Amino acid sequence: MKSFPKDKEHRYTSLSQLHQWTHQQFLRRAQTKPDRRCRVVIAPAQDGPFLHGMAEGYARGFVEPILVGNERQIHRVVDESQVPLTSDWEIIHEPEPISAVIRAASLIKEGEADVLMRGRILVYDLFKVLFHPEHGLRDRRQYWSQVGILQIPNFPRLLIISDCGLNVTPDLHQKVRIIENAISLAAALGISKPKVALLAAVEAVYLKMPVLVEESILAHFSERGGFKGVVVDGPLSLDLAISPEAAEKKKMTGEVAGKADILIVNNIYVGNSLYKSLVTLGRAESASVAVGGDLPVVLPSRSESPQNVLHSLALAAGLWAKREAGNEKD
Amino acid sequence: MEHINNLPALRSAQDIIDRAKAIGKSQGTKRVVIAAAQDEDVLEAAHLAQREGIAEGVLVGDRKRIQGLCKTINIDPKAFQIEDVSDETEAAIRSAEIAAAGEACAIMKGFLPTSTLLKVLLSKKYRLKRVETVSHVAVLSVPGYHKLLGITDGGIVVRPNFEEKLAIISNAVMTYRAMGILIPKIALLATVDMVREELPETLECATISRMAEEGQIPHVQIEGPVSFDTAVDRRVAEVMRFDSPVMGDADVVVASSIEEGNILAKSLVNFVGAIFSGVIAGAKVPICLVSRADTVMNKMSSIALGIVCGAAWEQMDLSYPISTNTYRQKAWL
Repeated sequence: MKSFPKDKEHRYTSLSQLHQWTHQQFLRRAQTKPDRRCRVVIAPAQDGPFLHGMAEGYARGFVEPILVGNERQIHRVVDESQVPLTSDWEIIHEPEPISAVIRAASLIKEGEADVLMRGRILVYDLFKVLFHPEHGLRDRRQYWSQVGILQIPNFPRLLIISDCGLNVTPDLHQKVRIIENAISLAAALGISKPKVALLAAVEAVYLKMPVLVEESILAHFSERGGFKGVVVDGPLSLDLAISPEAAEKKKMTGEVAGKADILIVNNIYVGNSLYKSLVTLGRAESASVAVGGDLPVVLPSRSESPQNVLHSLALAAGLWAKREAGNEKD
Repeated sequence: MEHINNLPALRSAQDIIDRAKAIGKSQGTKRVVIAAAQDEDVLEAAHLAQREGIAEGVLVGDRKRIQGLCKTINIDPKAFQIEDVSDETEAAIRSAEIAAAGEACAIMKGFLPTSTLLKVLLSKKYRLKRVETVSHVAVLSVPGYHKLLGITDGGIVVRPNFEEKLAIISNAVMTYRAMGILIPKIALLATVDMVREELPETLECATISRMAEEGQIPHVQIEGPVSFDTAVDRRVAEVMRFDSPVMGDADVVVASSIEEGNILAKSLVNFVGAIFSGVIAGAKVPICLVSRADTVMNKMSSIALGIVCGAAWEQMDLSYPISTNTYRQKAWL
């Protein structure tokens, strides 16, 4: 096993600190507003592990669950996987997955719910609804992307990885937006100067490989202040981005090499495999959300453990509370 | 030695090293020819392999520099057969000649670009070409996974097209057959487990799966499109109610691009503590690579994998056909 040096300057070393951060946001919100839970609407709700995660969030006192989906199937799932459902949970019957998502989105628009959570539906079908001009939640100026925060055993800090689940093959402009989204999520968590690595197979710039060229342009864009003082560097291979030892061996200089907080991948195939390798074989814990809109969408991977669903809920609820507390100040 | 088909399947990096040693004991230590051997890491790897009885090194390269480097890392240059060729292209040519004459069963890349070595090696003269596309096969011994996990291609083909993907699969099958895994289970990665127009990669994967179903790709079980977690985690496969022998039990995962293969392998090495062995497959002899970042164990298992493949390929029918010509297919089967 590679060993990574401990570093005291990092704000987060584990996801339990993320839960503390969420708690603080709720306290801040409660200074100006009546204290209440974050109303999370899941659609379509018939998914055992997701509901278990939801139940855990409910037990910890920060989630108020609203379940939209096929009622019969929801009850079957609840019975089969023994979800500790209580009478406080609201269940809204919408038999078809797509109509369930439409209903959930309308609850958010009408202020009946605060945050949306992906249920048993493919990400693309979910976002087809959310980006729909009539039923959707997206403002056309917004660009949404998925961001994962991972706690990897034996690694000294949380790693932020984007985009592993939403944008398939982003172009140069879209990559800038993906990077900005990840940076602003980090900023919301209090990581003010994250180091951003653009991942590739190699660190040399072969002009025949478009990925390397694009990432070099983004690095240069960053050098000229394109990301408002946040350093973005690439192309970097994964080991150079995260291992100071590897960076030193290959004589890679720069602020990011060996110290990356945020990893940006060039397409969904890369991101998805990387994320899933860490969560399955790497036993990493993770929180996953889609950001870019006014509020995050809780976006666990389709086979995520209840533990990881809970982390994702905590992150989204914290962002909601922070936004509400901030609004009051303006 | 027994025919390769009768040997047990290899399951870990240590198994690969042990198999290479066993081959050496029964057939005499196999030889690996090193093209442009004037490189510290390569010499160290050759020294280790020789000391452990994995392979005997034939060094083709600049004799003076080789001797100088041997001195700095404190190994005895007299232990090796050295052929003094200072120019890197010349070194590649001489190495190809040695391999073509059957005097070495594997080639190792030294201090020269991979492209230079491949160009020489695959030229018609030496008859070492097997398929049109060579590719890198990473074989990882991952803690917590019950077998060796192959990842391809994270090193050579940047963005494989359909033909290239078939060649990549054929190269992985050859590598796995050499390791005693006669019907490898291959997962074609594409983020999700179904065909979706949003993810164009899934269309190609589905086509290849269908070809395998029809018997057009012999001696494999292929599933695709597949997401990485369903490929390696039985629990996920069960939750998702996928019923395929490949799910949760993949031998090889085929990536959609060099970035995916490379980053996936590095993730498993850096974060999960996997031991990495790698070989370039596609020619009639395997090509081993070691890099600066490799540990002692990596270096040994990479050379051992080259020997295991090289020794097996000497005995095997290498005309592995993937084609649309069913007649030829049936003849081979």
